Amino acid sequence: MVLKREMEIEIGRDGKVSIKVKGVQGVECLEFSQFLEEALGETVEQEITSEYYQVPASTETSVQQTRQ
Amino acid sequence: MSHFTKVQTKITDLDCLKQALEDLQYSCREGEVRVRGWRGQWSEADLVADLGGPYNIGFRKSPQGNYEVVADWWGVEMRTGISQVKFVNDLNQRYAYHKVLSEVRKRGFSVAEDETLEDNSIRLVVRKWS
Repeated sequence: MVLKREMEIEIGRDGKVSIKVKGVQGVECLEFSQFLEEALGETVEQEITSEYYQVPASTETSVQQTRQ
Repeated sequence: MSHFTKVQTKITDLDCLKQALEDLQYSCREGEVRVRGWRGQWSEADLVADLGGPYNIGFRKSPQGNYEVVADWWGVEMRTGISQVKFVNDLNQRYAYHKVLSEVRKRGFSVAEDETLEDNSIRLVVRKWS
């Protein structure tokens, strides 16, 4: 199953960057934008939203397919 | 939305730094260059942005690997009206823009949206199918 993954990036007038990750759940989500955070500088704030705790639907789907 | 991160930009990429200065319409020189200050005083730098007068703005790589901005800000502001805060903010924004694009493209993302908002912040949406 192919999933769309997105990052919404906002660059403020002072060069501070906010990154929002969409379509990626759990621990994988934190890793998803890590390369960009590291390339840019220092993470000053991180907030985990509700989607982080959701069961990753895509993983379930692939498990079922394997059993067939 | 899964998580949200705020990053303070550090200038480490020379190519993106040069692109940012180009966006802001400064011409640059690199190599063995000098930052010029008051009464002919000078200091070494890795890159300088010319201001068309006796003063210029330099960039020096620190032992931590990031570029520091070096200038005689009093002289720069008096001659050109460019303040340190404004210069550094504009530079950080343009640098971050080029650095983000360069990094996400390396990872196979495509840019779906790229716009400058009313408050002059930049909004990008990058996408990847996997």
